[in-house]
Amino acid sequence: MAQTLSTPSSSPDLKTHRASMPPVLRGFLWAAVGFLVFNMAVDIVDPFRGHPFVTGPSATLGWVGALLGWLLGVGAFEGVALPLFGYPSRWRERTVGWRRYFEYSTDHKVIGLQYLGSAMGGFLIAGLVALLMRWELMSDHLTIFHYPSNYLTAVGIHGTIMMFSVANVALLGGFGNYMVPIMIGSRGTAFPKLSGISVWLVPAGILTVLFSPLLGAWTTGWRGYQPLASQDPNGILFYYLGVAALTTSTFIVALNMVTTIMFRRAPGMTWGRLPLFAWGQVTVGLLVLIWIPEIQATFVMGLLEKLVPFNFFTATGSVLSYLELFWIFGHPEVYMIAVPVFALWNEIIPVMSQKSLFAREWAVIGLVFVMLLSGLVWAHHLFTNMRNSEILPFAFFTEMISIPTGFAYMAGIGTMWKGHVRLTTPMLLVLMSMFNFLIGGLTGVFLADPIVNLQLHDTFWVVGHFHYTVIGSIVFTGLAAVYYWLPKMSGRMYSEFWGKFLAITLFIFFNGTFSQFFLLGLHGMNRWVPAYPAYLQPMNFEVSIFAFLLGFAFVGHFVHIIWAWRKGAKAPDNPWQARTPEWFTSSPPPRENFPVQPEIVSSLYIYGAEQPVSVHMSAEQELAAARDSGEGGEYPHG
Amino acid sequence: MESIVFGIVWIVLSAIVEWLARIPISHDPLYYTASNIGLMVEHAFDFILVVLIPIFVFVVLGFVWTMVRFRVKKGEKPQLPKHWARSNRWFVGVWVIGSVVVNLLFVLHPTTTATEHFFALEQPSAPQNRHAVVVDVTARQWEWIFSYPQYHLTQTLNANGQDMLELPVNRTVKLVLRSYDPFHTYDQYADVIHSFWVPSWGIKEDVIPGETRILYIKPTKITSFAQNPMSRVQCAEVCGPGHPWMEAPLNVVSASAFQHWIAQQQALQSSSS
Amino acid sequence: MASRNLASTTETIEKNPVLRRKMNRFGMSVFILSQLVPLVVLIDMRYLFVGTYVSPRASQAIALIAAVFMLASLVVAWTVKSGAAHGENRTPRLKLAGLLGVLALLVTFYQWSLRLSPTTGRFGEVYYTMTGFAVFYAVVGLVGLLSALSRARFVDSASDDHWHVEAVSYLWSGIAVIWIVTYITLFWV
Repeated sequence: MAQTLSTPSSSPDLKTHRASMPPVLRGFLWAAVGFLVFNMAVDIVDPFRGHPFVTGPSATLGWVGALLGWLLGVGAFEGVALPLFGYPSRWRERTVGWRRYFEYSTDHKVIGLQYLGSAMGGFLIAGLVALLMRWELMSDHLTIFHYPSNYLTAVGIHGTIMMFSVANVALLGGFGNYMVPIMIGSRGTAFPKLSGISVWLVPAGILTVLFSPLLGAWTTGWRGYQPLASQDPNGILFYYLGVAALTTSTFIVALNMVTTIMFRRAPGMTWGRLPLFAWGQVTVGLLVLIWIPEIQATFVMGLLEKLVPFNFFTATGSVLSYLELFWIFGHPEVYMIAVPVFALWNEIIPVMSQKSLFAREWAVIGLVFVMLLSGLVWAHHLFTNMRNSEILPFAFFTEMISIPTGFAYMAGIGTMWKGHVRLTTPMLLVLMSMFNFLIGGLTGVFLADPIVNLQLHDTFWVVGHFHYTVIGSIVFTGLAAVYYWLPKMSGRMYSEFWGKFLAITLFIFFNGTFSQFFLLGLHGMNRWVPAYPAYLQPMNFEVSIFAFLLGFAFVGHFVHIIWAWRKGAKAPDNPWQARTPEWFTSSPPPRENFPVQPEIVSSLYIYGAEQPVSVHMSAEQELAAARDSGEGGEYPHG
Repeated sequence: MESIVFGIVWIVLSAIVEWLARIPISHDPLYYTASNIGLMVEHAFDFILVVLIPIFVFVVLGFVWTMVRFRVKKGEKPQLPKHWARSNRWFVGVWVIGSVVVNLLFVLHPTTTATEHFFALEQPSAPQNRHAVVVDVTARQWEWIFSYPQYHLTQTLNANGQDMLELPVNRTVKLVLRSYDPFHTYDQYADVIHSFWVPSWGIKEDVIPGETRILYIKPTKITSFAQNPMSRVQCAEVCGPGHPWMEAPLNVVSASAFQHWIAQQQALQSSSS
Repeated sequence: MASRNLASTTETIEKNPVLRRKMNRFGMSVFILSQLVPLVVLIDMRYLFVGTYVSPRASQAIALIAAVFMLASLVVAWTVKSGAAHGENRTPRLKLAGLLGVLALLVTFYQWSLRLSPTTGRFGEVYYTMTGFAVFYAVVGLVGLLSALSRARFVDSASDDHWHVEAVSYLWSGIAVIWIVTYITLFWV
């Protein structure tokens, strides 16, 4: 609604509005008020007088109030709500200064960094929780967790935050919002206001899940299997609610990205020229638009099952229905994570090899077919529930999905072959990511085979497999993307020595940690256990040591990135000699991305001595200016 | 020329790695396999491993080759050629067809062959299944309860009073898996998903409330929990706070020892009732 | 060069209001279509759990009244939507659409209060879940309608080419369709 109001009123007679307190602080305050009001409203209508002040139903509705208060408080009140209802708003968007990152904004670059920052925060929180888990697993009995349900809650918080607020957010909400509009030569996104609100759902969701133990421990892990979930204490409510906020955010990102790529491409940006990362966003967008509403409906039913309670998924209902409904989302979810990663590999490799992208059409076909097949494989998570020929089609599609996935490797290797490969930090991280994902993929071949799956399912082999695929893809490539685009986003360069040193450290400790998961799994280590048979203890101890070192390596990267952002050497506009449009504007880009509307005049992935510059700033005055100074065809630097 | 050298190095390296892989394969990569289905898992696992090694070597060698051979030194600025190759019919063709062929191979073997073999073993009418030892396995939060209806045993325990499963070697067992709580005070159907797993058997089966599932399996080795801790019944699906301790020792003994144990359990049961 | 400039004026939304309107409509259509996915999940659950059974304690008449209100509201909202698409401002009619929507909600709340089937019954569970979804959407849609009515007091609808009015009435039409499909699957088939 009211998307046409996307450009904030900038009439000069209006004084810049200054909130009486920092927006984030006001968000917390309004959230607290919202919670109290809605919670109290439920208490008032509660026919039973003996209930405590906060009950399951009152906390659920109270949370809705808190979320509304939070979103309005961070600036949606002046920025969206007032104009939506036609009231005059004195809100003006900040265009400079760090404060704009801590309030509602409609600048997709600010929003992208807000998403990235939230994802990084979620990653650090969930990573810390993972280290607590590894600390516990150093011994075969309970040590730092006093009850197994506390450990299982930590498992759930780790998984939920990592999946829904890091893996789904970093490349989609973060680099999607920041880079995709610039890469397609657009001066903004389709729905900037909606996008400005949606980013604030991420911190809300992270905090909801993180503080879920306030309502009680929950033991299901990130999948929330019924009927266990509805037996758990009320902490599970905050799992459902936090996930609702996070998935809604991802949904809005997809809506915004798909519409932006459909309608806001620059002149000359045909589908044949569309950057691969944008292709990745479109294909993932379709997955998100279909499967996120599906899981949201399922989780609402789960919430009602717990709250009312209903009996959809108990012994008298259909237990397996929940599992099917979860995994029919859950497997496409994996590709929501992986597809933009495949796209990014082939975004960075041609630039760093200064060589034309090899077999581009196959790389795109790979993305599309992974997307299509991902909806047909979900039941491979349920082989232990299937005992007849239903298994075979799912095993077939699961094995087949490795073919289009392989096309990303084919294009990458083909591009590097005989190229001028510059082993910069992003390139190194991309190669490491491809190696890790290769391990993840090949161990997945074992899991795809039904008879082997019956042994490996629910063991640490599976844990190792999905950490290789998820960390191997999103985290390594996400870091590569941060280093690759850091000069663009900050105008500054990182230290090549420290970047490479930290990348190698990360690679060693990552593999040291997770490669042993496969051995643990084969040796009989099952999942979700804070205590386990003593014979598995030595290897677990070793894994934990590597895990702590891995944690330090991540912290090192973050410190280095923040240092480079603030103190790094000044970077040129196009340090990598890349051809995609984001490199044809200043670093960091101006508010509307380009000084004038750019036009795409040549392929973005074809390198060669006689290849024309790919981006033109096509406004008449620019052409005139260029003609006057006798350097026609040269693009201006903003 | 470059491609030919690469190909030779790839073949040599693959051969070396395959040779090295014989070590884990000959020592059982699954650590310990003690059932007929476990042997099928082991064979399938070995087969996939052997086929995947050249693929793994190819991709990793590609990365290393790139980093060594095509690397541009710092500060060096090589001249771009007029045109780069943007496709190579042979490379793309071999890759696409090769990946299809390898995957079809896996679909046929071990996926279809092993799965069909497994289904055949699980047919109730199969000759070896008709005279199976029947064990009713009840999963509750958080305990495995084993009863032997053919021997009128309702719950078998070891000397410490823990539930335990004991079976004769080389004889098919029919496990009847259910999830409910016979000791629950008012609602014995209020139970959750468990998963019956014996690590040394190479198989697990989810136990779902409201469903009865049957698993036929034949232990092939005389073993015990004390001898190898992979010989245990373990819940593999998270089922609440007691999940880590939802396990029971599994002993597989000779036919005569099994009869002896049954008699002992029967005596125990009649004395306690 | 000339053709290139011509292309750039027609290809970006900044210079082409028709394209901008298309973009906005596309976004709203995708949103409404995506909300059919939860509906499919719910319909799936309805047939999975209770087949085509309808509890005899569920008053078909009351549900029918609510659905008829919603249908009438849909018709009104659709005229507003198509009017706005053709540059006509029919915002005041949204009052009628909203009123009919509120009536449908009140009738449904009355039916809820009858506790027509205990929530432990399968049909009752499905009934409360499905109508709960429809009611949630209707509340969101009503806020949208209210925003358009409130906006009409301060801002000239032509200032954004009636897009706000079109958007909220389009959204409301989608919500009404979801409501009616919910009614049909719950009580007719």
